[in-house]
Amino acid sequence: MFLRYMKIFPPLALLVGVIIFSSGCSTVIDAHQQKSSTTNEFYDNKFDAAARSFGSKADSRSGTGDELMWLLEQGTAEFDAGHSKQSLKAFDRAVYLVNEYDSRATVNVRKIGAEAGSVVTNMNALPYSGSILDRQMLYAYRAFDYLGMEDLSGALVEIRRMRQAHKDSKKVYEEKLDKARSDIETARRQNSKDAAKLQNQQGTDLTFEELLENAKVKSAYQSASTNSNKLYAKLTNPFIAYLSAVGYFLEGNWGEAMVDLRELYRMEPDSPLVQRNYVTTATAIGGSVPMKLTEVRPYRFPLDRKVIYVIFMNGRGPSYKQVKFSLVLPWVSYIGFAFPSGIYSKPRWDNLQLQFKQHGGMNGVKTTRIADVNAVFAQEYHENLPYMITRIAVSTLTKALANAVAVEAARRKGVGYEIAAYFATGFYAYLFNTADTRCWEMLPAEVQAAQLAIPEDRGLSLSSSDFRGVGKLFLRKNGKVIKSAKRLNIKLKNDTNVAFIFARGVPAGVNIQVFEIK
Amino acid sequence: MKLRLLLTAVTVGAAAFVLSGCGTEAHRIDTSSNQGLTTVDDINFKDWQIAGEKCVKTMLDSGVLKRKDDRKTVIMISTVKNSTNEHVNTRLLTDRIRLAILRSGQAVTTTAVSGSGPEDNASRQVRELSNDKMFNKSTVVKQGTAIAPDVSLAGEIVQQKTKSGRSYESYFFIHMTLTDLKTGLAVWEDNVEIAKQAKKPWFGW
Repeated sequence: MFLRYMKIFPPLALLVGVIIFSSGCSTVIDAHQQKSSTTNEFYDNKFDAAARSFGSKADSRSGTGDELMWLLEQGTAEFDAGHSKQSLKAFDRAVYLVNEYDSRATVNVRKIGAEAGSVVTNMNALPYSGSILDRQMLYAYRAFDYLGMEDLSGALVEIRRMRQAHKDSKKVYEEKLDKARSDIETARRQNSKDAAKLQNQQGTDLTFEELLENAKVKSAYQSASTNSNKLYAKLTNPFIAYLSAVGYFLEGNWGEAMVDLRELYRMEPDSPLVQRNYVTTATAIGGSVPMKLTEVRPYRFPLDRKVIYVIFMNGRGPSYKQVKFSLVLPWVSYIGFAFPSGIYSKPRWDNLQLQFKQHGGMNGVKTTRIADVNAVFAQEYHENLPYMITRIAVSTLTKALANAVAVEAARRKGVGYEIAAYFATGFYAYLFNTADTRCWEMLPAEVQAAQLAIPEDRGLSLSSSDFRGVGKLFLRKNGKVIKSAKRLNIKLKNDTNVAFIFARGVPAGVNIQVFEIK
Repeated sequence: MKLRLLLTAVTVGAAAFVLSGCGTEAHRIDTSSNQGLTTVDDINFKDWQIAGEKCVKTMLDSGVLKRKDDRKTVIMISTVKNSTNEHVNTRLLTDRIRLAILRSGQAVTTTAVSGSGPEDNASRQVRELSNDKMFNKSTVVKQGTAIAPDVSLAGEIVQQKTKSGRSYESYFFIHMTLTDLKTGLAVWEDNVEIAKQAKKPWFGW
């Protein structure tokens, strides 16, 4: 008798193995947990080690649904480590995967396979195609890579692609939402059919309102609401608007830059940097300036030549953690749900300070916030959560109902069958109760920026601090830390026309890269 | 039973044939034919050919390159600005144009100066040899002998992408100008439009 039950395990194990292999490990171990050691390495300022680790993961997960996620992490770590070429290589593959995913046939075999996999396992079986935030930031980072290779023209192409991704965001978002709605309806129909086979049908459907009564769901929903910024409209990202405006400045297209700055000013009205850019551009094109900005002085230096743009990626970016909760339903004693909940960290460093000589004396500027990445992430999560959690709940119910029907059928065959069915369905439910925590975790918590004219002596002195004191700065070049100090002095080349200073703030300090364009 | 086996074998065989027989071996294609690949988001080699031929024809037909004196017009290749969403090498257009102009005999191009610095730095380098003891000074090219350009060729390529349902398209607008460097006036202008469309399949792999 026992041997007869044992016969079902090899094919069951094979099926589980095939699903895990084709969808990536995240169907069983959530992505946030898989990344945690490498992420910690990155935030310990070990960028090279993190880049290597993410790279080896991306290689080993090549062809699976998780590949894009690993490539995004690898590309960021490589860029921050000072390896622009390697970073671009990872992002090239990421762009290929995103485009390939978007150009797939409406009905395609892989999608059907992944959908089937997600029905029997969880959402991690679906290929990760990137969030709206990911898709926009992917091109921003590619633009940084080109700047790292001193190719301004290449960077401008990527900024144009970033604008296109921003424009396409609405369509991508609506398609995802339609898909979620249709999945919920399909699962509900299936649940209704299965529920008819059970004697007690109470609790065989769940709505978002019912789920929101659960403390853990409520907390995740409220935390997203608290962390989002009401001024950021749906699918907008102030950093994208800022970088787009900088691209237009460098092309001398003030009219288009004004369009971005209007959007940016609506989202970040109190940022002095945004205000000054707004006033400078409006003055240049003879446009009107809002009443509130009449006292703001325009920049007295050109924004397309002999200028320095400082971009400070500050803090640990938002991510998801797995949250599990259970409900007791009348037809089955316990049902477990797993869903992703946002984690938001505050950046350690207040800002980056730059001091330089001007008109015989010392002058200084500080970076100021132009985008709260936590808020952009939280906004997208808050919009998605009702559909996401309902989808998870109804698909978990589908599996639980199928299990209940199987156990019921086994019970009629005999006690031994019933025990085996309980064991198999319980193991299966435990194994695949994993939340989809896949996201791009190497993004910063916020982006700060500053603009200044190239100083007369081309020299700059950089420092950063928080309430505990002055932090350490690391100057990176071609993948190596060439200097570290609490006050970092740098000198630009004679023939530099436009310079970009990229800073990456992690708890251990702030890493600096200087890209000079002739 | 045998019939079922046979049917299964035929079905599996047919599927294997279809799946494995999709590729083709690498082969050369005629660059003057329409055998090249056409993709929506890129400017393919045929597009460059069409754009180059049109620009050259209208420029030569306009007669702006003909001078009243015996000297041939000297053209400087300035910058063709890439304002597209793709990384393109605009030399695929400018080199085609300059070669056709040279063949026409109406003008010559200078490599001593171009939009992004000299294309061939040798003209400047050889003049610096007059300070080098290694060289016989009388054989070194003297300063003031290079011929400055009369006109400059420049342009811009713009792309607009649109999506609707399963259809998507790219529209490329290539605008070229020839500027008289003495007056700063554009003496010739032309544009080439390329529009490409494709539809995402409804069913596929």
